[in-house]
Amino acid sequence: MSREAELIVQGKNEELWQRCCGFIDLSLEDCMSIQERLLLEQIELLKKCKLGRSIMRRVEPRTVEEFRRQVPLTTYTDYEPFLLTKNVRALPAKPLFWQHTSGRSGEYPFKWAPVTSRQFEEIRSLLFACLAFSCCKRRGEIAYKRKDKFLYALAPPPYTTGALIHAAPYEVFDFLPPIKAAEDMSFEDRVQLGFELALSEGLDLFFAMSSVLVSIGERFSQRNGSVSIKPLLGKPKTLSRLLKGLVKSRLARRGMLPRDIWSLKGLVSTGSDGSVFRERVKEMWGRYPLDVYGGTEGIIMATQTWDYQGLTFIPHLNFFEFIPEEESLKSRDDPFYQPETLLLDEVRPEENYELVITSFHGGPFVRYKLGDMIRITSLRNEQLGIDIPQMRFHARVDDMIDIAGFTRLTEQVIWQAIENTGLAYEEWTACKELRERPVLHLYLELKEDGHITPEEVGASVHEQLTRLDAPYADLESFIGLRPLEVTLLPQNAFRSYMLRQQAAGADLAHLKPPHINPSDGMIECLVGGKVPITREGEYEREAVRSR
Amino acid sequence: MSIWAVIPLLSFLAFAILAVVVLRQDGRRVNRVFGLFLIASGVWSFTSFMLHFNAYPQQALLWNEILVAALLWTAVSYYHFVRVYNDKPGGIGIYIGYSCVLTILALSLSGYIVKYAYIVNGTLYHSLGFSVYIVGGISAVFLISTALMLINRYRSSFDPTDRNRTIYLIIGSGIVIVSSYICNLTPSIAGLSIDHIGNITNALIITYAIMRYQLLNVRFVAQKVLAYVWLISCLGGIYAGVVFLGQRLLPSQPTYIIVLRTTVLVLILALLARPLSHKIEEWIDRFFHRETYEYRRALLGFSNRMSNIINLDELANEMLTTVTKALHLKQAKLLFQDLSSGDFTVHFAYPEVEGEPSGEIKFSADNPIVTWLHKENEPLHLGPIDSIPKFKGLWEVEKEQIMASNLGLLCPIKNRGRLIGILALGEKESDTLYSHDDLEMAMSMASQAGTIIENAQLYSQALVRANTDGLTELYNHRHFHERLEQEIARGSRFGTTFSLIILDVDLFKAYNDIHGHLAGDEVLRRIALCIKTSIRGLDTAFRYGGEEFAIILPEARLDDAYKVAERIRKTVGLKISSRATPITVSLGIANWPIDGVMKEKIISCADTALYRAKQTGRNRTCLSSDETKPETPVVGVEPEARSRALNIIYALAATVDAKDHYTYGHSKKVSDYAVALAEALGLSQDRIDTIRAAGLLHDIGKVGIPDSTLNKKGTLSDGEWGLIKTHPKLGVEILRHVIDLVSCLPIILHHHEHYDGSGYPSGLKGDNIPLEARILAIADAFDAITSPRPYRAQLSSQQALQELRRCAGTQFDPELVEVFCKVIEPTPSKGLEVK
Repeated sequence: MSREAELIVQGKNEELWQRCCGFIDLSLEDCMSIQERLLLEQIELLKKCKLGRSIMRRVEPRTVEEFRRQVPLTTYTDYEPFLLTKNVRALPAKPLFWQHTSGRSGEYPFKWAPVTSRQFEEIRSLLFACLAFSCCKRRGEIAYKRKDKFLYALAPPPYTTGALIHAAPYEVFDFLPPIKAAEDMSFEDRVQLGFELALSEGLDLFFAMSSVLVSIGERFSQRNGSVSIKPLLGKPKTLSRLLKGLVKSRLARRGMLPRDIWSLKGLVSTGSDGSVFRERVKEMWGRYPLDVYGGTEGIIMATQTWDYQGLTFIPHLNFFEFIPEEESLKSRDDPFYQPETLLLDEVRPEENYELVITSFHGGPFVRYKLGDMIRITSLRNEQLGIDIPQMRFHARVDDMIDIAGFTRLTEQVIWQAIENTGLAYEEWTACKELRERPVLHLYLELKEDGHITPEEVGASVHEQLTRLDAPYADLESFIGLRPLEVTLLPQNAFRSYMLRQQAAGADLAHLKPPHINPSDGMIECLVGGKVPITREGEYEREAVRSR
Repeated sequence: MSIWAVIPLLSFLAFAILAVVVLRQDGRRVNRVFGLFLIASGVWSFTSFMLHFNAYPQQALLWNEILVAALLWTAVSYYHFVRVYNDKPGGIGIYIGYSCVLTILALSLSGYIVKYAYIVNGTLYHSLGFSVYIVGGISAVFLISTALMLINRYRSSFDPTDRNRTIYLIIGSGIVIVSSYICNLTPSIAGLSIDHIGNITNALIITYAIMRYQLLNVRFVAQKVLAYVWLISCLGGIYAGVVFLGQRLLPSQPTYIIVLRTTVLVLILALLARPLSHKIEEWIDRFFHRETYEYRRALLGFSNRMSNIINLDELANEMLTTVTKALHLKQAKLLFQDLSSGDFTVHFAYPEVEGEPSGEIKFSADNPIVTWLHKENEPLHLGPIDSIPKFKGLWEVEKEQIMASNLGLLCPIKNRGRLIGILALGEKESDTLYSHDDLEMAMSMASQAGTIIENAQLYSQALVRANTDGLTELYNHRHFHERLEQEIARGSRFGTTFSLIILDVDLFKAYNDIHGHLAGDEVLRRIALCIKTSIRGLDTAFRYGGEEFAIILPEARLDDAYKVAERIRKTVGLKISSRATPITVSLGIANWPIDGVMKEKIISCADTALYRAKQTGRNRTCLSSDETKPETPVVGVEPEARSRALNIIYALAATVDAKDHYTYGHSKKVSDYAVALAEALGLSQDRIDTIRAAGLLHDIGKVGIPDSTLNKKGTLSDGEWGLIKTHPKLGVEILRHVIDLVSCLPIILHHHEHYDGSGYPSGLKGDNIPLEARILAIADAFDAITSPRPYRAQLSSQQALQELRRCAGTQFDPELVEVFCKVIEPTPSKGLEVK
């Protein structure tokens, strides 16, 4: 039994809070001290392994400053020879298990990353912390208890979220269904069975991707309050719960929602779209989801607390560096440019930064560019008295489009999908839009106008994407999300755009809009509106645009 | 009124006051539930009082009926309190318990439990029937559950304060259980209010735990109130007891007389309470807290002894012995900061474990534990260190080190707010956790020791400084003599032997003159390091003086010492010497008692051996006692090769002279003038020989200067001057590889320095210019003036001397000029003939 589980069983809530959640009480100075020390430890581990020597170009930094000056920024390409082959002997520490996320279509199917036992221990502690934050109303309160019913709707292992569930406190809570039993089940079957059990046994804690939370809520409301009594007669507990929900929904004169059936103690969500689904989740489940920011490489990097506002950085799992937005742009234009980075105590509020991490505890990533642009919302959480800077996810900064945390589509895969439809097209561009749900918006200019509708084009491209990218196909099968939307551009839209750009004296590189993540202005120009001309060096790209 | 009624009355009053105090505090749940327990206990005591008071005999049945339910209520509310104290939610047991209380109350009031009840002569007569076992059984379930919960908490807790609080609750529960059941199940004492005594004792114990261990969040003023309640209850108890005894022992006495006398007695007791309290406290301490009493005594003894100790070793020994014995520890250690690294390392341990390296645990200066100890004034438990966020920065190896060290507690030792040491306590012999008193004692000791340790450290550091050479950090000359005497004494006593090596850096003066004193210091530092790394752990190295070092090698025979000496010589050659700057050392060895038994004799023998090493070519090791010992050859330079090199050099010097027929023979003449001046100054033959060679070679650097510049008739341009000025350095570059000529190098390098600092190449001034170079400068100038040059006519000897005098103090050393003039001027027969 883990120490955290022991503490729950023994009722030592004070010690449990300190152990798992105590990092929010650290001063910024303490945080930086932890960051520095653990980085120096990690450098020592890196010096002794092949991966470390290769990534650090054989330099041996002795201080944080030397590390930042001498070691170059990296991307997953730098790790491919070691991680895609799972070369354990080249790593700084022996992995406990491997996890992956979707890779780059056409290059490698998955991005693999090892998790060490020390990282695993910290993750376990942080999962307890996230659950505590999602349940509590004040500092120090541990509102969950032993035998609470815990439902999880996360991707199966070795996807990161699925792999991490092994760190969850399964000795303490009643998992729906039990982890062992769920190992061989498909995602859908597992969620289905989990909900059946939750209807029967009750539900206290729910951990899911935000898109899944909404999807499940919608399924409830779509039933429109119709409950077939007959099959439930043999299940009195389920029946009583459903009847209670039915009465509540009828009194409120609306369809039945999950909150009519269960009164959750805690709700934790992952995924970059958390802020989009936040209000809908509250409406459906009766409480805000606690947003956790993580990923395959950084695992858990920040978490919300019980005020459900900004996310607090977790200082003991990764070393954080921040590339200011302008510097990030420069490095995108010039791959050889090494942008300057800031540390956690140097960031400024209301500014965007590209996040760079270095794994602690023997993890493999060194000055790794996650490709995420985050926004520092404030330097401290005034309301809760947390002295660590607060953040929220802002956008992807690379040439990929993340949909609901399930898939990351590249230029190549979208292009291939369009090609496979056999349509005669002039040019295309695509971006992600966030409305009530994430949308992959494809803007396509056909060679011949008028003989095909956007819906027909959309259906063809969707079909091809489903074939080319398995995680994209999972979106529909797992959460019923069909994100593709197509706008057919007028004839000569791209040519007009180029002429405008030429007339404005734009740089050669900016004559055409990029295929992935064009700016709002570019799209307005393509669809026929006025547009400010983009000059070299100006940044007006927003990967995620709320409308 | 029965005397037994007094006990429940007192009990009721105590509970009532306690309940008011507790419920007036903040709204913490645990306080509220404890208040509820106090109310239940108060109701139980009140009903019992009313029953025994028997004011209205017809109401005896009613009070007895309520009493039954109140008894159960007390048990259930105590169970409730302990659950909340354990951070456990209410649970179904609470609901069942309170439901039972209400049910029993209803049944009791309906006459199903108590059949009849009346008081006769202060004794209760009642019939409870079988239902009493039901009430007793339910109460037992709750009381035993309560006790089990407390025992579990005690066993799972690692926090000594928490364990102390819990132990009081356990004792209190035990008393309640025992008193309740003994009283009600033993017919002979049934009705004697023993259960109330048990319950009030429990309340008093809880009150004590509140006051001492902050069992509940009760403010200071409230604690005082509780203290007085405690005192009043004790006095009340005594009062009631005395009255009762009086009634029994003196049945003939009227009750009012007994009450009157008892009141006077208790009043006197109350007046004496304060002075007696200290004595009572001591008895209680000795009886109930034997360990605490022992701690205090140990601490007092430690304090008394500390005032007389200044030596760090003695202090550490005293402190570790005291704390280890008093706390029954397996081991205790003292960590101090290393001056060089800043790390806290183990300096003292008690008891020393054989085979255990004393430095197995260390805390680097930036270790979060050190930071924490520096900021906080309380001991740090190493057990739950994983749970403290501030220690998230600990390295894995540091955590493993802590785990392996078997240490449990670190107490900061501070002086004026600065962390100067760490008292590290190992596990207890009984493998139990530290008690609150353990922590108090360890911290008291650490805080007392702070100033004394710092003084002892300063004293110790001063001692080290007094015996250490500041430059090389080896022991100094003074300490060398002390240690040598100690070694001779040891040898005389135990019949052991030792060797002495004296080491001298070859041609160090020349090195200093060429490269400057800072570079010379660096060489000495590096040689000291080479010596440190080449000798054994029990050998001691000293800076004997200047560029001389000494090494005492206990229990080393001559051949052992020879091996060490050779190792040093080779290490210096490998690590310090380079092609550009050859550094070598010569070593002489003597052995005690083979070469002599007196200190002076042994030094003299080693010196003689060193001298022989110098005389026979340097860079070698010689023994004083064995003249036939083969000498080590000069590394890298064979004698024949050296001779050939010298011949080539002198040929080169002749070539320089030959380059310019105006300067033909210049080097020879300069050499002669310089030697004449050196002899007039009374310099040693060695130095005169060096000056002679330097005179011959002083312009050798001119081989690198184009003839067009050397022989130019017109004024030299700046560039050409620059070229000319490089010739001293060029000369040194040419000659530096010939070890035998190394002593000439500073003379050649600086022979164009001016006395006022305006010369080249280094711009040295006054006496900073080597004496030999000043001599050569005069000789060089004199010959130049008196020789023909392409750019001016030859001057006479007198004109040249006048010119020298004119430039004395600016270009030349005025004192040397005067001597030189005397050498040249007096009579042509005695002086040198100017050709």
